[in-house]
Amino acid sequence: MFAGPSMAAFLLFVIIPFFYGIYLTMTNWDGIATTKTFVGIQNYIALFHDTEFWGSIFLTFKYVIAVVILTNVIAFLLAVLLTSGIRGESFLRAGFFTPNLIGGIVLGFIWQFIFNRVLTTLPVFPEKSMLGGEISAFWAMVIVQVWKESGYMLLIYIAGLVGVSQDYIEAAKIDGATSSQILTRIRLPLMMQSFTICFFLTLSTTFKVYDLNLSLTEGGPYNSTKMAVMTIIDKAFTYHEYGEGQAEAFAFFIIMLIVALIQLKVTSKKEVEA
Amino acid sequence: MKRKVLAMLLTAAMAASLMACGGGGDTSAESTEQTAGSEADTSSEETDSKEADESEQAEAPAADDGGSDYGGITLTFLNSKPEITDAVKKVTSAWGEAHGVTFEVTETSNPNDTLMANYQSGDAPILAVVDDANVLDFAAEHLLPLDGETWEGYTDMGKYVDGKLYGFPLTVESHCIVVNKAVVEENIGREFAAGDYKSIEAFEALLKEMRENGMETPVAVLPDIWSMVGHDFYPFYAYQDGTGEGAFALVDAVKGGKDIFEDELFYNHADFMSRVVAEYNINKADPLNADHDMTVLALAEGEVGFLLNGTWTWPELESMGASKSDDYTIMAYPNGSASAGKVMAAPTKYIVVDNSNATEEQQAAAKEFLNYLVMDEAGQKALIDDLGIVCAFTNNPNIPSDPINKALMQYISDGNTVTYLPLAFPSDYRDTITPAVQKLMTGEGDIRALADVLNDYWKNNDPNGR
Repeated sequence: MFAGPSMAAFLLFVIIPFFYGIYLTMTNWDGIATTKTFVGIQNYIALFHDTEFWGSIFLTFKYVIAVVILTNVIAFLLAVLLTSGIRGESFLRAGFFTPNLIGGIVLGFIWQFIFNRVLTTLPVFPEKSMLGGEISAFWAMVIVQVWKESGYMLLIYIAGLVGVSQDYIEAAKIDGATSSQILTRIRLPLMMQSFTICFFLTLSTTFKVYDLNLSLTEGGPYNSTKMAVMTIIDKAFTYHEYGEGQAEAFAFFIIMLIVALIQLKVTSKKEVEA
Repeated sequence: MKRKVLAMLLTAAMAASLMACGGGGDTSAESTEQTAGSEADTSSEETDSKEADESEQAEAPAADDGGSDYGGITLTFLNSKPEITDAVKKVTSAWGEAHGVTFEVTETSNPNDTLMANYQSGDAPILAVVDDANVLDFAAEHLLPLDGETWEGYTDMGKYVDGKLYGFPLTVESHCIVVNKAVVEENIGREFAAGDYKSIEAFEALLKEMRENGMETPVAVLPDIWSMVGHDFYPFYAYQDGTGEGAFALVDAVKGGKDIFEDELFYNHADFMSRVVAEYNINKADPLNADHDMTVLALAEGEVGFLLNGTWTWPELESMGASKSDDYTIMAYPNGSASAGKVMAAPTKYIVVDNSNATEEQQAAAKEFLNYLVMDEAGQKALIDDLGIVCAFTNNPNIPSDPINKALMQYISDGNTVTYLPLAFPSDYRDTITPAVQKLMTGEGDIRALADVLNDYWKNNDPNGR
């Protein structure tokens, strides 16, 4: 009863469009026509031969690996620092979280300005913008995404760290454990749930990156930072190959699902009950 | 165990949301529109209706042409030419008040994505300002044929698809080089005449002279893909013989096995862009990441003498301090063709009327409004003075007041124009050639590589518009 409205909304806005989307993968719809012709698995066959799509999937994987690792390492280290009793903890927590309040499009334009107009004028940076090179533009995207995400993950890690019962910490101290031993042997195993959540969130948001991709690099230079979602949207909307674009979206969904399930399985295994 | 099941469900739900977003009626692209066509690089989509500035309305041309009263119906109007949105609100508001019509004007810089989303959600605008390619894409399914309207007799620039008229030609524009004539003349110490620099050699010599006279980089090239790729690399189609037929012939030849690298116009233009323009570009150090506004400002403030762009630049220049009394003009991309010196000019924006969601009354009001723009004195004046465009209709006696559009009018009346229309490029053309063009302009690629991309593209794709 209580779940009724939520379930209805979930059904209307997620489940029905999801299955309608699967239906569209089997049509040759161009996104404009009022009629849709059924073409079976033709779009799936086409997507297997679409080198641009698979290239963007490979690029997205590289991006996800870089962002997930850097975000979580930085967020965790900052969380340790900000639970160690240093001055201005609350202020710093709020400060690190702030980038998360800025939308991806705005964030992209802000950082585009920084990369193109600020850093290029500083003597320690090259005159050419980071967004001008294929490799440097990729890392520019990583930097911005990590800058945005780590503040959010930081809060989850802080919650995990402070959520460990002081009884265990006290007991360990009495037994002569050092600070690093307390961290690695007591705190880390007991906060594995935080890792599970943070890895899942960073994985899913990073895989689906589009707004930042569009506003920061527009896929450039030379289409070298065109991630999977941008490739799919171009295919469906710009090139008017909606059916094939939708098939690519479905394939991408399956890939994401597999990766997310593997991640959940691996990290959940390491969780321990207090 | 329960937790694991919950976690897995959560995983599936969140991942499924991606598919759902792409599924039906998605409007996410609408809010993150990319720069496209001849528009500014804003991604906002403003919605307004009749709250145009009161004082502006007071100055709006009288629109009481004795036409029908529609009793308060609403016409939605999608404008894809952001620099004239305020003027569109002013003109539609004036006509609407006199005819019992409320206009709701919205703005987009990407009419393709916006219209796709609008039609999928059953909420298409009644009137829309769109690009050439959009008319081709949407005509058969969604647009109202406009054959037989009074204005048809006063233009030969309407957009026809399969023999039916769908596009009202709103404006004639030119992809060209915008010249700050006063700055150039001050630098070279003599009068500047665009006709003296028809050839690449002559223009290169001028740039060299300007450099020797102290202006290190006299040319500004916009970094935007729609400009650098979409405009600066189209002239070799238009100058084949100055007509769309010549452009189609080039494409057909490439489809038939001709190596475009061997095409003299293509090679010379690519060489001009990558060797001459790249060398004298104010954004030479980082041509792809320069700032759009700063690049236009460089022309307005006289840091450069030339801007590769088009006649639609005027509102931007004016907003940066240029005055209508300033000495600006336009010139053609130099080349060695028989049409050298003529500028590319064509209708670049069309108004279309919806035929899927609009009622007959709304369509009638829309058609009457279009006729007002062409047949009524106030409408004619509004087109030129308020919208600030070069008009495609022969019965309009008004002359643009800004120097750039005035110069274009002069080229048109002298018969000094070329075009590649009705050739229209497939929607993936620009994306496909972008990496090769960008590499050419940064020195990381060469003309051979661009030629290979074009050869491959045209062998596998057909042009639109024939």
